[in-house]
Amino acid sequence: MAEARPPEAGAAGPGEPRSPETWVAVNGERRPLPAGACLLELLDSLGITLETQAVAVAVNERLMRRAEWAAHRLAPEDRVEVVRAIQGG
Amino acid sequence: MRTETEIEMEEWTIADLRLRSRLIVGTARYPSLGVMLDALRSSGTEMATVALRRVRPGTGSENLYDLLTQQGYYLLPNTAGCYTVKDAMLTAALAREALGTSLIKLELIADDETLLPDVEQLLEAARLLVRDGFTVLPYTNDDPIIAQKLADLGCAAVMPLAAPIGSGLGIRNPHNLQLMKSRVRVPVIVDAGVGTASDVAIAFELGCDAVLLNSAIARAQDPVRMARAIRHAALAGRQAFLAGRMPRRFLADPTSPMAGRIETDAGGR
Repeated sequence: MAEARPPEAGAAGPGEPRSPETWVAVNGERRPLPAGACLLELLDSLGITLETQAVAVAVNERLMRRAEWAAHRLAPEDRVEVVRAIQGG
Repeated sequence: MRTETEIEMEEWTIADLRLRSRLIVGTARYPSLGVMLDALRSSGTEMATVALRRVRPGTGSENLYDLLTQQGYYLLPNTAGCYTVKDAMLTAALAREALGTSLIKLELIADDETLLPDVEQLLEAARLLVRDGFTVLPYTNDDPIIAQKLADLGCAAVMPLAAPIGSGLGIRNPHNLQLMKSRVRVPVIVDAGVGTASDVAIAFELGCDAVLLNSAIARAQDPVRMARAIRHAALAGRQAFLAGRMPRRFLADPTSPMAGRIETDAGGR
């Protein structure tokens, strides 16, 4: 799980959680991390469920398979990437 | 109804995937999704490329995956925008998980003006992705040596650029593409820089196995008409290649015989 780190001076902007223990980064943006939240709950806030097709998730640069979404507990400062297919060449 | 086009373009394979169309078409930069779908259909392609990008809240309703798979297209995800091996590896893993395919169009870019590949990183990422069971289609430059290395690493095809991505400049180094085709034992798919139908015909006349293109169709004034033109150009170029072109000569070689010509007192030679 994530190591505890001292808060960085000026790391949080206005309106964002001030203490680093209470946030995760989701697609590059900080979001509050409810205590004991699992990945599936976080994805729900993006409108993504286990039924949503054609999306994929990584936590701290590790692919998270769908089977792991409900069980995986997020840790403070985890970096979550949620992607889907878009138009491209 | 079987048209002449369907009868005459012979099948080819990428790894164990059998295809009849020798065009792979991108899905970006069309005036609308409707035009994109019409152009894909008009091109006769069986495979479309897609990119992987972050989900944005509120965009759940638009689903390119559904649109394309319902029409029966194979999807070829790319690692567009990746500048490092790590980026490319994670993007490929996410693509395989999201789309259920091991196909990956591997793009590792050196700088954002030329979008030319970083071949050192490309070779490293290709090696790792092949090890991890991906079907790797690497976007590379027109250097036959690099193409040979990529093929030797286990890539399922090589995809040399004709010219920089989106430039529409056509095939800048036909000789190198011929050298490449003469040496590698995997399909050679011209990818990037194609501008119009004649570029596609030339690619096939050089012996290339397929062409991957996006801007040439999407950014034409009439993308659907251009897609149809390119479909015909692919057929023409491929047939011309299989027919075996005449040799080139430095000097003229008359087609009508010299023997038996009339003479006049003007002293015709």
